[in-house]
Amino acid sequence: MTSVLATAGSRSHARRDVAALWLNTGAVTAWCTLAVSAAVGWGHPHHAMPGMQMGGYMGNGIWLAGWLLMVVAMMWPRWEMHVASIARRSWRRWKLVSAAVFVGTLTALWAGFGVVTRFVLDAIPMPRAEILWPLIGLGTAMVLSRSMRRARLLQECRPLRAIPPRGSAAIFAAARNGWRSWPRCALLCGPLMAAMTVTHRASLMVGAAVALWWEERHSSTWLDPVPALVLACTTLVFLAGR
Amino acid sequence: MAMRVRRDVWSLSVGTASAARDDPWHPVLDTYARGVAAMQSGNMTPTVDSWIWAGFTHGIPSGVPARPLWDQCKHGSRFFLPWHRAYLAWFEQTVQAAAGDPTWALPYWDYSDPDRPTARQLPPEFTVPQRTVDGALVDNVLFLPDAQIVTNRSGQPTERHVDIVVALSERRFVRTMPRQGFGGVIDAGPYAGHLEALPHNFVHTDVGGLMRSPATAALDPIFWLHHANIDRLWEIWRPLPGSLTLPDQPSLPGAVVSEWNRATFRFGTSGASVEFTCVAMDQDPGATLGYTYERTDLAPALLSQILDARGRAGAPMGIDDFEADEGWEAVASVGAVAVPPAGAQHDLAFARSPLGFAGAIPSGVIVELADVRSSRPHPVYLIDVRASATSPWRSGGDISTFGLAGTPDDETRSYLVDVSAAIPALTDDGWDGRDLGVQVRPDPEDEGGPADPEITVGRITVYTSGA
Repeated sequence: MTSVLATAGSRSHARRDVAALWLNTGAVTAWCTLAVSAAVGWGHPHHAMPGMQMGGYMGNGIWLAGWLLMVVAMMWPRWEMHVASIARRSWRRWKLVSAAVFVGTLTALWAGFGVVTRFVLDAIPMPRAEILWPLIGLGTAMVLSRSMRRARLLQECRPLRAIPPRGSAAIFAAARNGWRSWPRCALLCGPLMAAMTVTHRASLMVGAAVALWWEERHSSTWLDPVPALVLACTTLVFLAGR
Repeated sequence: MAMRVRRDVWSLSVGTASAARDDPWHPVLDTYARGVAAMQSGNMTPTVDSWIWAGFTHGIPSGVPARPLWDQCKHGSRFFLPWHRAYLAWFEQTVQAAAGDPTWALPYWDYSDPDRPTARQLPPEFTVPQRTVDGALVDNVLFLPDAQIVTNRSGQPTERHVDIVVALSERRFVRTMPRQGFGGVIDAGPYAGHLEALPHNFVHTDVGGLMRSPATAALDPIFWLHHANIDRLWEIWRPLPGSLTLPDQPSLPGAVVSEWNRATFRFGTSGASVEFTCVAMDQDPGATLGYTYERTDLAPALLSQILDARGRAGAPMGIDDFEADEGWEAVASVGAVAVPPAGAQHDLAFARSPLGFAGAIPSGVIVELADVRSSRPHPVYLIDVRASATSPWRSGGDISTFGLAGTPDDETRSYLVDVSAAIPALTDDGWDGRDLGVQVRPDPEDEGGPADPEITVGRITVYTSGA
């Protein structure tokens, strides 16, 4: 009987982790895709290819694809704890479904954020926009990283509301939890993500991703200097490479 | 720096209400009263050394504008113990400055002392409206006329509400939901660890008044003595055989350890704040904060119970000898449960048998009450379980609603109740492990004043383990 119990336990553990595994696999895949696209000379698709401004369907599609890859690469690892929690509350066959709906909702909201932000930034006449907007985003993020109110927000992890273990109710609850989690996520990451709707140079992406990942991982540290330092270095590298 | 000793308040007390009113107090309690009076003496504008500031740092009542370093209390959090240790240290420094006595140490209220018959009662220094100072009767600032209303009929916390055996029997500081560690739970949800759930939450609701809500609790002078005792229990737990602090626990997610190692706690104002590191709080306070406790030993009967429970969980108590948190699965669930005064009953069919084959009895059962919502709940709710619709209800456990009262209407709380101890009784009732009746009802022993006609539980979920 002992061995049967142990086997049941270990299998369950593997199932529980599968949602988080998919999340991290997705993020790694996105990073690889972005790296490959940079290596083959696309840089970011909508910059390297002609006619990729927001007006063209082709350009818009490629821009959106690139933006989504960025969201997946940078945001998905931040949601691992929530996804694991959702999986714990779900029945076996619904773990991935509920987790996917939660992640999909947040990803869709970030996609909308990107489209709206890009539309607004394109509408504002700005000389050397590809340099200045990212610098404004980086500067804003650096200043805000020293804000007490932002430090409080970082510490206030909005807990998940109850998620039914299966069925349409589980899907609605997962979507609703994604919707509820979004404002905190957008307030914390908005300036940096907005900067990257204009350009996603590798140095900028990596720097921003490291800063965001670090602060989420140390969300209980008051005014942690590390993200600000990372962003300062990222700014210097960005300026040096322009 | 001389080591300060936090002493048992009952060892300092004059013992009776008449003596508390007429006789001189022990210097430790006298200094506390003078410090509190000085902190309360300012004008209406809160300053960093005021009583209001100290209280609002923990929580703020509805309508009070938030400040960055107010409303910080860490409940339902792995940081519950280290944050409150830092909070008490900051408060102690504030009282020392206000009373002009840098040697003063906060006393603790050991309500679980089995050798002291009066242990569960509030010391008389906290229950008399006036006391004698320099021959004159003055208002006693440690007494709050509307706050210290012990809510149950015995006039003191119920004996089972000050139980420390359950918490101290847990060997791991954190566990993964639905399990509770001694100090917290790993999950995105706000679940309390064992010590926070019992006795911490229950003493809050049993004392009643301001103590019932985190928004107002720290405005009651007894709050600080209650938390000094919780802090002391952490120091009792640490050297018990088999206890594992969070950094020492194997196989924890890297993010959990990393966050713990860099977490900081801040108090004061945005411009001038005092910072404590979580790592420093997770060490002997004698080395980091300069205080120790008068007693950190346990009564032999309590120690025996705790060691027995720890031994049953898996002797010998080495690092690699912990039963896994994995293997727990949600097996039944029901949503939107209204709990009227008569209680709510649901017979829940399991989605599958816990081990995947018929007839298996789970080795553990945990009931989760998620998203409980109420502005005026009863202080305590009982959770009963039964084997079938025709079987008797068996006591599963209880929850204290501290944190639910006095919070905004849209704020919810979630609770985990380990009902595994009821499994033998359920088995005697013919339980086949395929379904379970769950009942939630207000504790008839508690009188918390006017309560909502019903509270809402967003979802009741049953988790089982075969391991």
